[in-house]
Amino acid sequence: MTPDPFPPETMPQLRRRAFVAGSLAAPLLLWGNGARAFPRDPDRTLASVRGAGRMVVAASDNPPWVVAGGDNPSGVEVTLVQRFAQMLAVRVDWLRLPPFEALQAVEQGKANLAIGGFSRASVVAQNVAAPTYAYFTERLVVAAPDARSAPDDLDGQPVYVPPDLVVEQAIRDRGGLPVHDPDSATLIALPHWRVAAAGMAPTGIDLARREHVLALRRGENAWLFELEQFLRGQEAAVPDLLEGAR
Amino acid sequence: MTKGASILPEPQRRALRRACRLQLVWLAVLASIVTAIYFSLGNSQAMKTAWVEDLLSFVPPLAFLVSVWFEARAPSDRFPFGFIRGLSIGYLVSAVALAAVGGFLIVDSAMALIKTEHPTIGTVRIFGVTIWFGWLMIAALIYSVILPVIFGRMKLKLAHSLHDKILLSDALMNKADWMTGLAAALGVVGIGMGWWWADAVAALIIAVDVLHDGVKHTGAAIRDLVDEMPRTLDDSAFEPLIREVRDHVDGLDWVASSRLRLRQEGRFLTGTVFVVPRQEEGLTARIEAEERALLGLSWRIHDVSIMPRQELRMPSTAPAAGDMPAPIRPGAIRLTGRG
Repeated sequence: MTPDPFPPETMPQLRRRAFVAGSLAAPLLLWGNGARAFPRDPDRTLASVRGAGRMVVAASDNPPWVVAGGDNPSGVEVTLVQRFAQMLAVRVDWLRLPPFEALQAVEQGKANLAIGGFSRASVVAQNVAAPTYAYFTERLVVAAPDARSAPDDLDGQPVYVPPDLVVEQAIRDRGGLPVHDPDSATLIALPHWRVAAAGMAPTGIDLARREHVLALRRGENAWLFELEQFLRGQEAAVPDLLEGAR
Repeated sequence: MTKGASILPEPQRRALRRACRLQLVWLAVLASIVTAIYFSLGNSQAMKTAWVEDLLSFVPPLAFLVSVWFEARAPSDRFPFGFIRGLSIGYLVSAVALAAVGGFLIVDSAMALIKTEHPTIGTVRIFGVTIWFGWLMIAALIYSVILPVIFGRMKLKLAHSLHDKILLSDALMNKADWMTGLAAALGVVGIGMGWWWADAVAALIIAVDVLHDGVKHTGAAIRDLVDEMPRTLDDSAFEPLIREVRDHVDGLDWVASSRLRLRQEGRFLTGTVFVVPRQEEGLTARIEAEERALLGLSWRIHDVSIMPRQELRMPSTAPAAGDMPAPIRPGAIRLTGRG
C-alpha cells in the first residue's frame, strides 16, 4: 500500500496551554507579593524621601501660588508643601528655578516635586513631568465695578486683561475687546476668587478654567498617591490660603 | 439568506441563521463600544490605538455577513460557479485584519518600551475615600473583556458546525480583544508593583500571539484561494473527506483506477475525480449516479464531477499536443488525436 499523501497531523497545543497557565498564575504571584505596599514607585521616591528625612522641591516664582522672594519662599503651594512635609515628618530643601527647569528637575530626579502655580495643561504640554489631580480649579471671569453695570454679554465691550492672564482670545470669542490699559475699560478679567476682594461684582461671564496642579516625576505612583491623598484633605483650605497670600 | 441556506441541511441552516443574528448583535455591541471609546479618547495615545484595534474588529463580522449574503445567490450564465467562494475571500480579508491588529499592538507596545515611558496613574475619590485609579481601570478592563469572551465562544461553536473560516477568524479576533484587555489589566497591576515596563511587555506578548494567528490564517486563506487540497478548519491536517471520497470511488467495482483533485470553496468541497472505467457500457448513467452518491457523503461536498479517462498520467509525462505546450494540470491531459 502506498503511503497516504494527505496524512492527518496533530497540532501541538502545548504553547497555548503554557500561555493560559502563565496568565492565570501571574496575578496570584503579584497578589502575594504586592499586598504590603500598593502602588509602588519604580524609582522609590516615597521610600527615599522618608529614608533621607528630606524632600527637594523645585519652586518657580508665580504669586500668589509661589512667592520666591526672601530667604524662604511663601505662597499657597509653598504652604501646601510645608504641610505635606510636616505630615511625612521630613524637611524641605528648596530649589529656585524657572518653570520649565523646575519640571525638568523632577524628571531628572534632582527634585521630588515641582511647584509654581502650574496648570494641568501647561504641565502636560511640556511633556517632562506628571501633573497631580487638579486640587484647585480657578475660573477666569469677567468682573464689573458693581452689579448694576454688569452686562449680559461682551458684545463690543472693552475688557481689561492684566498682564499675567492669557484670555484675549476667549474675550474675542465672546465678542469683547481685550485691552491692556486699565483706564480704557470698566470691565476686567480676573480669577473668580479675586472678584470680591477687588471690590468688583461678577458678571456671570466665564472666560477659561485653570486646573492647578503640582508636578512630579512620571510613573512614581506611590509618591503620587501619598501626595494626592494629602491634597484631597487640603482642598477646602485653598480659598483661605489664597485669601491669606494676598 | 434563506436562499443560500437551501444548499445546506437543516442543522446547518439553523446554525447559519443563528450566526447571522449573532453577528448583527455583535456589530451593534461593537458600535456602542467604539462610540464610547471615541468620546473618551482625550489625548491618550494608548486609547487611540485601542480604538483603531476596535475599528478593525468590524472587518470579520462584516466580511461574514457580506459573504453569506453572496453565497446565497444562485449561479448565473455570467457566474456559472455561483458565489460560494466569496467566503474564502472574506476569510482572507478577516485574516489580514487580524494580522494588522497584531502588528499595530507590537509597534505600539515596542514604542512604549523604547521610549521608557513610565505610566503615571493617580488617585480618584469615590464616596469620600481616595483610591488608586488603577483599581478602577482594572475593573473597567475586566468588564470590557466579558462580552468578547462570550461572543467568541459562541462563534467558535458555530464556526465548527458551519465549517466557516470567517467565523473562526472572527472568534480569534474576539480572543485578541479579551486577551489584550486581560493583558492591560495585568499591566496595570504591574505598574502598581512599580514595574513601569509591565504594561508594555504584557501587551507585546499578546501582540505576538495575535500577529502569529493573523499571519497563519492569512497563509491558510491564500492557500485556499490557490486551490490547495482542502484542510481542516484549524488547518492542522488534510480534510478527512478527501479520503472518504477517494475510498468511495476506489470501492466501485467498475472503476479500475482514479485520481482526485479537490479544492475548498468557502465552506464547500468541489473538484474532479478522474476515473479509468473497466467497462464502457452504461458509463454515463453510472457516472451520474456516483456523482449524486458523492453528494450524499457530506453536506459539504458540493459539485464534484467524475471524468472518465482511458489512462491517468502525471503532468510530467503528458505529451504536448501539436505545437501547444504541455498542460500544467494532470487532469487536463490533451491526448493526441482525442478531444
